[in-house]
Amino acid sequence: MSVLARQSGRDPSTDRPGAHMAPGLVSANGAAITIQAVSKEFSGSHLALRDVNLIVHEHDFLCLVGASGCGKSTLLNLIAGLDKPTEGVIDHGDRKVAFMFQESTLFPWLTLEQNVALALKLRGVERAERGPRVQELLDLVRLGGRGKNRPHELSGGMRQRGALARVLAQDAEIVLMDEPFAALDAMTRDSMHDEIERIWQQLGLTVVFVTHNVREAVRLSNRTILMETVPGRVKSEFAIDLPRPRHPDDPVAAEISGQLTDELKAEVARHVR
Amino acid sequence: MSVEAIRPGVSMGTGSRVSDLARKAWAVSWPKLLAVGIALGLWELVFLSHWKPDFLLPSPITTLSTLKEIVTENIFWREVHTTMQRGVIGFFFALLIGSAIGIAVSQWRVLRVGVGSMVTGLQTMPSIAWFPLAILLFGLRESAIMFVIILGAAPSIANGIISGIDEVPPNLLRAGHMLGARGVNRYRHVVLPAALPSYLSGLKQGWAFAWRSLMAGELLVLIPDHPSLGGALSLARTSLQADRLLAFMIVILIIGMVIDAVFSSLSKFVRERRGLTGL
Repeated sequence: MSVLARQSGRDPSTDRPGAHMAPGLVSANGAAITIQAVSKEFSGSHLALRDVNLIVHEHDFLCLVGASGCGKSTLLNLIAGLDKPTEGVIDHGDRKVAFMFQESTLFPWLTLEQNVALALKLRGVERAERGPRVQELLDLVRLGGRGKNRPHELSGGMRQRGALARVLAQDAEIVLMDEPFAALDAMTRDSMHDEIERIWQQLGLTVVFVTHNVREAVRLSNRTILMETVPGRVKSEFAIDLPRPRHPDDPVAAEISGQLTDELKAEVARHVR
Repeated sequence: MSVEAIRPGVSMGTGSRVSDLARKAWAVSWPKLLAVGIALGLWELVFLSHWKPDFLLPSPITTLSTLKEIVTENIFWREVHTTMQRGVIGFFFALLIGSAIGIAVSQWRVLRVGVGSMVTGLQTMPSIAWFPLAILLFGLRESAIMFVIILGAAPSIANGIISGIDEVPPNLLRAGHMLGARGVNRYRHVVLPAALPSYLSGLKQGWAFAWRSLMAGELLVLIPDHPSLGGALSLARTSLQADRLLAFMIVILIIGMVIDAVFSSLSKFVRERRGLTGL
């Protein structure tokens, strides 16, 4: 009996923690993002995505997992509107979308405060309100005393926390994250997981998080989508309903990670063959 | 008590800051001073070899004492003033025109295809080659000199901004887009600040071209009652005052170097603030 329930192999009798069927069709929350029959072909290149259908619910923490080149970042860019699908529709209503990139994209010519303040300014926040709001956001990501620093004066983890503060300054309902912690060391990554989980819960965000790290997906998500490679497609969907905060070494979490890893390996092997 | 205890510390701090500045200034200036020393030494050697008669090639010492006299003359400062004024005004217009062309070329593909290579072509055109046309069009006037300064400097400035904009990391553009920096805001908050280091290199190079064009212009376009450094060079040559000629050349060299140093330190300051400098 699998600890994981997959959309393709539902088993309603499952009652173990972390082991019920994917909530794709039964969630109490409404759809925040609807992705319908989306395909993406880059000119002169292969089909990056084919017929992707996915609903991201309000307050979901959804992880997209897959091997390199499976189109997960492409899908994220399409949701963000940084690129257009060749076919299909992506709809997130009038919800605001913010994007957190793999590398820190804090502007090097501005201090940390100025970076966050710019995000506020660009969405029309009055000058007088910006100062206190910047401080609040920097406090939220535990960078309260670092506002006057420039990005190159901060560590990799601090830069990503700064980038997170700037993302939050946009006051978006949906936050898209493209492997934001991939370049960080394991210790820093662990603490970033705690931070992002805390902030996601505190602010009631909808998060779509791209990663190739299965343990990270199990640590953070309530739904994980495994993607197929070339062309990129939704292969299977997993509901991960474990109490938070989770520890990756927790036996149930470790078992889920193990199974997801097996699936991912099988997918990579299939592709290589 | 505590105030007295702090005070010496404060004054020591200021003192060490001054000596720190002096050390930095020395670190920057000694290689230049050494180079000047070597140049003067070589000059003295050529002088001592009597390759040319003394009145055509005076010694460095004669030249430097002439220079000392020249700087006490009122007319010298009027010459410097006229020349610098022309340089600054010409460079200012080149900056406006070059920046506008640079932004336009990097913004519109058609312009890039049509004008992009022409901008680089113009950069290779020796500025003195523009003077016959400038004199035909504008006569022996200030505007002829301005025309050539602008044509000399604007292409470098435009190229600096074009390559700066081309090299903006795509991730910063995407981040700016997601922050809502579109249209004018995209340029104001992302593209132009990101392109600044390259733009400053362009300005520095543009100034070098402007300065050369200006000197060529002042040698060719002599305007009565407008004493200038180039005019003084020309006058010294025709009156066979080789020591004055060389003294003015030194002045021109020094001004060029000082302004170059200003651009270099500006560029260094900007790069340091972004963590772009090594050890």
